[in-house]
This record gives sequence, structure tokens and C-alpha cells, in this order.
Amino acid sequence: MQNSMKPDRTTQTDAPRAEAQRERDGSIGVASGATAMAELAYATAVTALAVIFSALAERSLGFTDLSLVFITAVLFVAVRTRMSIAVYAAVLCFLAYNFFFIHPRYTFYIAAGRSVATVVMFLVAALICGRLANRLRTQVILLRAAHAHTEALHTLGQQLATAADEGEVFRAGLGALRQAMGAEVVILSMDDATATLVNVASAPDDPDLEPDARAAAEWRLLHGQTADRGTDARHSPSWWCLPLSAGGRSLGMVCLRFSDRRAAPSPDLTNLAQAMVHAMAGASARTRLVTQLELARVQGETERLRAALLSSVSHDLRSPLATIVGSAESLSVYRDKLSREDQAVLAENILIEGQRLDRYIQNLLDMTRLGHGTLTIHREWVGLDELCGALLPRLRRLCPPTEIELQIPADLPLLYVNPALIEQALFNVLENAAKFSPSDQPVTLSAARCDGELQIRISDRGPGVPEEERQRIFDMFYSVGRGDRENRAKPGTGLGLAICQGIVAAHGGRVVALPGDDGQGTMILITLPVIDPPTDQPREE
Amino acid sequence: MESPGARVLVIDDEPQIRRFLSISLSAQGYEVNEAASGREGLRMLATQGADLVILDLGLPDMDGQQTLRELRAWSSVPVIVLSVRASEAEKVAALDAGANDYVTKPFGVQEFSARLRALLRVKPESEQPTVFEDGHLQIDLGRRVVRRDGEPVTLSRKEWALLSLLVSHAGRVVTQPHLLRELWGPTHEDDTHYLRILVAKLRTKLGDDATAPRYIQTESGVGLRFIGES
Repeated sequence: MQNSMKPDRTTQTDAPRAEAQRERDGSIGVASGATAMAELAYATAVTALAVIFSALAERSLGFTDLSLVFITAVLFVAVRTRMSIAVYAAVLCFLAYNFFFIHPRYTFYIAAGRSVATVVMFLVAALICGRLANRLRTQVILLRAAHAHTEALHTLGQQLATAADEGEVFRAGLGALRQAMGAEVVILSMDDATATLVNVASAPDDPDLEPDARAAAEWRLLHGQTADRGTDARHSPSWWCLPLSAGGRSLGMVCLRFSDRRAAPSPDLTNLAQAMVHAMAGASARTRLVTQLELARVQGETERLRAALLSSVSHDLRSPLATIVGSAESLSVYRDKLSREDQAVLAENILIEGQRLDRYIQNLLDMTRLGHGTLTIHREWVGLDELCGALLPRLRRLCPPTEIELQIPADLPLLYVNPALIEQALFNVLENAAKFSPSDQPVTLSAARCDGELQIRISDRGPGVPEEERQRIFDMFYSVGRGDRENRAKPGTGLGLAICQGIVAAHGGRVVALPGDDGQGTMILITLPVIDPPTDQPREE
Repeated sequence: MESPGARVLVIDDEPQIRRFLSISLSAQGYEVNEAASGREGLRMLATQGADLVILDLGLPDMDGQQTLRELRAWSSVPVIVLSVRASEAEKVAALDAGANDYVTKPFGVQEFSARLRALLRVKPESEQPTVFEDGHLQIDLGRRVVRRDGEPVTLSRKEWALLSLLVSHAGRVVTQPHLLRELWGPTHEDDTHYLRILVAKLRTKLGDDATAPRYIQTESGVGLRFIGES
């Protein structure tokens, strides 16, 4: 019966509580027959031992001293059993003491008046000792139970604090309730949209539990009872339902069924269950709030992107189209009235705007390909110098006045990339740099190998990017907002740098914007991993 | 004009593209025929013949690649394919299926005309060795001689093989898989680093700069093109 602190949590939490429970319910002898018999036998055995010890010690001790032996025996029984057994032990010891050691021996008759006083005082002392020792024991048991409850609540609290979603909250709560209460547990979640109980979690994992528990929970929900167990017991005899609510809002229902089909557990177990359910409700409300916030944030972001896309499409598609349609119509309708120079200007307009439209559409296509994550990178070996050789003519056609200065060391390692994509990424950055750089200042592209990485720096001497915007310039459509506010003269789709970032990231690299070398202008730093070429060399000759 | 009166067949389903090509090519002295579908194009080529075919890869009735394969089954007429950007694989496939060059839509008329001239200049039947000479560099494929500013340049066998492949297709792109197959055999089609190392050596010997090429231009993801105009 000794309650050792075993590592097994179930034993640790359940056993002392059961004992304390029995202590309260059964102090007047309601305990089950087998336990009572065992305890009576124990008390009797201890008394017998006390008699034997006293008989042996009788020669050296006086008969009054022997009463101490019996008091010790009563204490022994009292700290290990219930109050009723302690009283039984006290009476038994009193009788044994009287029968074996008080003159005349082997009778219950007491001859000397002094002995009567001793024996009666012994009985009183035994009863008081038994009572005190037993109360101490009960308190220890209750303390242990309370400690176990606190421990269980604490563990649950830790699990709930780290729960990322409602599912995790329910799983943690389910486990804790099942372990602490030793009951069948069903958790029903309230669906906000339909106001019905759904999303069932149950332990043990048995589908038969759910309909039964749901019926009880729905009855409970319908009648809106407080935790009045009597009423509950009448209508849903086996299930004990606790509402899961936070801030006055119903989040669901927790249903428990005990193995002995009690309607509800003892008050301290009730308190524990309610505390656990309360903690679950708090955590559940928190995760719901986080989910809602995230949803709102994503929706806001999507909305912002959609607005930016619309404004970009309407502006960047329509302006070149307006020029093309207007110029072409002028040429077609007023051709005879136009000078040759004017005709040439209009034709040039159509050409330039048509090319701009092409770049824009290409950007949108690139972005869509990157965005869908369907971009498969077909890699091959290529030199950065060759990529520059391919992209510079394209760039010169677009921004003729800007000079591009290249600083590419001859021993730079080959890149293992998709050449067309990386060419496009570099093109976008250079185009952007050329757009913002004064036309008499060169844009420089330099490259170096650094710590197993290839760093490509593209610097312009333009106005630079404020620190707080350096991250945002890689956002889709970012420059649209800026362009609208400040300069229409430098049209951009706001996609170029976003595409560059997407391409570089797809190659396992990264792009950052930094201030220029002496604080003037902007430096875009592209970092790509260096992959060593296969060691086999081409067969020569 | 390089080839006045040369007959060009345009196979494209877009009437606007056919119309502007027809106008601008006629203005340069070419005789232009138009076909709106692959079938019609093949029929016109068979019945009327042409000196050069411009073929759109995105045709409604039959895939441009298929048209190209059928055409190549019985004709060696030079073919320029029109393709959209961001489909390097498609370009390489068309070139390997027998196209002689490609142009990316939308394309400039001047760039297009230059490709056209380059193709008409090199007639397939004229098998005589090409000589290239631009004042700095002299390449004689027949005598296997390369001179840079008058000084003979010693090339390794592979370097020579690469240079002669490119020069004999001057003005046209030669695909990377084709070069790798020709130089190292079919098992090395993916060993693109072989080619990069070889091209770098060749460029150095020719005094060419990869970042501003005068002779050997890299077409990212497609191949190499010898761009020297003699």
C-alpha cells in the first residue's frame, strides 16, 4: 500500500488521488471488502508483533513503558491505513495490552485503580495519535495528488504554448486528459461557419466513441447547462461534457467517460479537468487568432500584388500601345501631309514602343514561370565573359548612351548555370543600373571568387536606394509605385529585379542591394555558388 | 544586294507577319511566296521551289518541327526558323533537325536580313573551301592556315576542327550538342565544359574577346556563331 514515487506518470498521478478519494469517501468504512480485510489483517499483525515485542521486553521495562510499544504500533498502522483501521488498531492494542500485561494477566479484568487510569489514558492517547497520524497521511497524499496535478497541468501548458495550430492543441489536450483522468476522451471542435461540432479527436482512437459523445455534447450545448453534474447525469449518463470556450465564445466541447461509468469525478479531478480544458481553450483561441491573422496578411499581400499587377498591366501595356496605335494611325491616315522626317519619327516610335512592349511581356512570362516553381534549370558550363558578350549587344540597343565597364578576371571559374536565365538576370540588373545612372558615368560589372562563391557586383552612379527600401526593390512591381510618384521618364515594370532574384535563387544564389563603393549610387551583389567542373579534361589531339 | 531575285518562301500562319516580311523582303529585291500552313508550304516548295524557306515553328495544322523533318526528307534548301524566346531547347531541336538558323520573335528586320544574306551566300552545293579575311585575321579552310596580323597561328587539332566547323557555317549558329558530337563523339554531348575550355583557348589565339566578340559569338543556351563579316 506504500505509495512510492514511481517514474510511471500514470501511477504517479492516479494512485494517490484514488487513495485520497477513498480516504474521503470511505473513512467510515465504505472501502472495498478486499482492501478492508487486508488492512484489518495488517493492523492485527502489527498488534501481534507489539505483543511479542512487549513479552520479550517485559523484563527490562515496566508495564507502563510497554504502553509506548503499543502506541508506536497504533502510529504505525495509522500512517499507513485509513482512520477506521487506526481506531480498530487502537482498540485492539488496548485490549491486548490489558489482556496480556495488566494484572491479573490473561483477563480483561483490571485489579489496581492505577492500572485503570493507565489503560484508559493509553486508549485516549492511542486514539488521538491514530487520528493525528492519519490526518498527516491524508495531507501528504493530497499534497502528492496536487503536485501531480500541477505537474500534469504544467506539462500540458508547455505543450500548448508551442502548439502551432488547433490540431496540435487538441492532440496535446487529448493526451494530457487521457493520462490524468484515465478516461475515454473525445474533443469536438466548433466550426465557426456552420456553428456545429466537428473535427473530432478521440483517445483511445475509436470511431465508435464519437457519435455517442457528440450526442451528449450537442445535448449539453443545446441546454446550455453550467457544470451541473446532476442534470448532465440524467440526460447523458455516461459522458461528462466540459465546454471549450474562450472570451465568451464557444470553441468546442470536451467529453469524458470514466471506466466505472461515473457521471463525473471527484471535485479535485473536476478542478484538474476544468483547468486543463481552460488551458486548451486559451491555446485554441490563440491558434485560431494566429491563423486568422496569417490569412488576413496573405489576403492583404495578394490584394496588394493584384492591385500592383493591374496598375502595371494597365499602365505598362497601354502606354506603348497608345503610342503604337497613335503613330501607326497617323502614318496611315496623314501620310501625304507628313514630312519625311515626321514619318521617320513616327515609325521610330512604333519600333521603340513595340520593343518595350516585348520586354514587358517577356518579364511577365518570366515572372509567371518563376512564380509557379515549374522552372526546371537545365544547367551547362559557361563563362561569365561569354554571357556578357551575349547580353551587351542587347543592352546597347536599349540604352545606347550608357557605357558598361567589365572587370572579369581571366582565371574566373566557369559557371554551371542555365546560361539564358543567368544572362537575363544580369541583363535586368544592368538595364536597371543603366536606367538610373547618369549617362556620362559608366556602370561597372566586376566579378571575383570569394570563399567558394562567385560574387558579381554591378555598380551604378545613380541616386542610390535608401536603406529602408533596399530589400523592397526586389519585390514584384515595386518600382511601379515609385515610378508613378517620381519619374515617368524612366519607365519600368518593377519586375526586372524580382525576376533576377527569382533566377538567382533558383540557382542556389542570392542577390542584395548595397550602397555604392563611396556611398554614391547602388551596388547589386549577386552571389552564386561555385561548382568545380569535372576533373576529366577534354581529349586534346 | 547579295542575291537579287532570290526566291524566299515564307511559311507562317500570321497574315500580318507574312505581309510585313513580304513588303520588307520585296523592298530588298527578293521574290517572296507566302504559305499559311505547313502543308501548303511543303506543296509550294515542291511545285515552285525556293532558294530559302522561312518557317514558323508554331503552325496550326502541323508542328513546325514536323514540317521541318518532312521538308528535310527531300530538300536541302536553307531554312530559317522563327521561334519565341525562352525556348532554347526548341531552337536547338530545330537546328539539329536541319534548320540552318533561327530568329527569335519579335525580330528586327535588319538582323533578319543579315541572317538571310548569310544563308544565301553559303550555297550548300558550293563545297569549295571558304577563305575568311578581315584585315587582322586570315583563315583559309582549304589550306588549313590561320594568320593573325600576318603571323601564322598554331592551332591544336581540336581547335582547328572547332574553327573550321564555325567558319564553314559563318553567320549561322552551330548548336552546342552538334559541336560536342562532332568534336568528341556522341557520348560527350553533355560535357559542355570541354567546349568552354576549347573556345576560351581558341579565342585567345585568335585575339578575340568573349565579352565583346569579333569572331566567335556565344548564343546562350544554343551554341556558337562565327560572326566575322568578310
